[in-house]
Amino acid sequence: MKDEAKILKIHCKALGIPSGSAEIFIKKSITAAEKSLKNRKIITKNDRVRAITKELKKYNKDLAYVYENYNKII
Amino acid sequence: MLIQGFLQTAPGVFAIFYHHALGKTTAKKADDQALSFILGTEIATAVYFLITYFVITFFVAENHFLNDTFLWVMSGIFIALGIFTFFYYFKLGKKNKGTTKLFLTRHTAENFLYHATHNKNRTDTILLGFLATTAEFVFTLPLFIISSVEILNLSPRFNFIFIIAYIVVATIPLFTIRTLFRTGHNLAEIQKLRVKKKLLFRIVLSISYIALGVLTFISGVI
Repeated sequence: MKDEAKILKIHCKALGIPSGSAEIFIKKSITAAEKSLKNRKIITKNDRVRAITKELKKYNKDLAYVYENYNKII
Repeated sequence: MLIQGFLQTAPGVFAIFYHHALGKTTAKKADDQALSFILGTEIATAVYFLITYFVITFFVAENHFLNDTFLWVMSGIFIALGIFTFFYYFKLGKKNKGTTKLFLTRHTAENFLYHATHNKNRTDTILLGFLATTAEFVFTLPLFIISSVEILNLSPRFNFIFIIAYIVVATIPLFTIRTLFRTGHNLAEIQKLRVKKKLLFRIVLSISYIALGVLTFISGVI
């Protein structure tokens, strides 16, 4: 969770999202994503990315897009 | 030289690197590092081009090739690259529809991603630019060879200008991405634009390589 929050903070700064609000919705998104994955027996990295992206879309679409497609650019 | 401008590994690595640098440092420092990356790609292009030029000059002086066989082989290479770029340069399929994943193996792409996000100083950045250009050596080497042959036909005073023009044209996409970032565009917008133009890149690259192959073949026959 710490790593994901750190990466998301870097994305937020690069996208020009104010750090105060970014911190709040990153925390909310990760918590909500973890809650939605709570009942699963096996959780892959992709599951986590999908769940966090789904939550991030509610707050900032650009951030959600960058986070989802980060590994698919090269 | 225009074909090399359309190749996508260096712009992809550059976009991630610049985005990450902007997130970690101030805009001024990120811009400074971006210039180091561009310098790295320029150095790589210059080194590979000049080595190829030197080898070609040596072989021409020794009368080893530039005969029909050489032109046939080059023509075959270009046509093969034309077919490869259309079908395999970008990873296709449903899963990769909205992405710009390239022909590189997963480990190579992950390696680039790691270095783009973990570099610390200018030297790292220059080396990253060098590596990004080296990854496409298969596509650029035939272009260097044929350009060197073309340069030999020019007047010696234009050789230097041609080589400089080649290096500049090859790095135009990087300067374009840098300008886009500087004018307020973010990685999401740039990536969406790249995904939108993916088919155009494939067609342009493929047609250019095949056209170059056909032209080389015709010049060999004539």
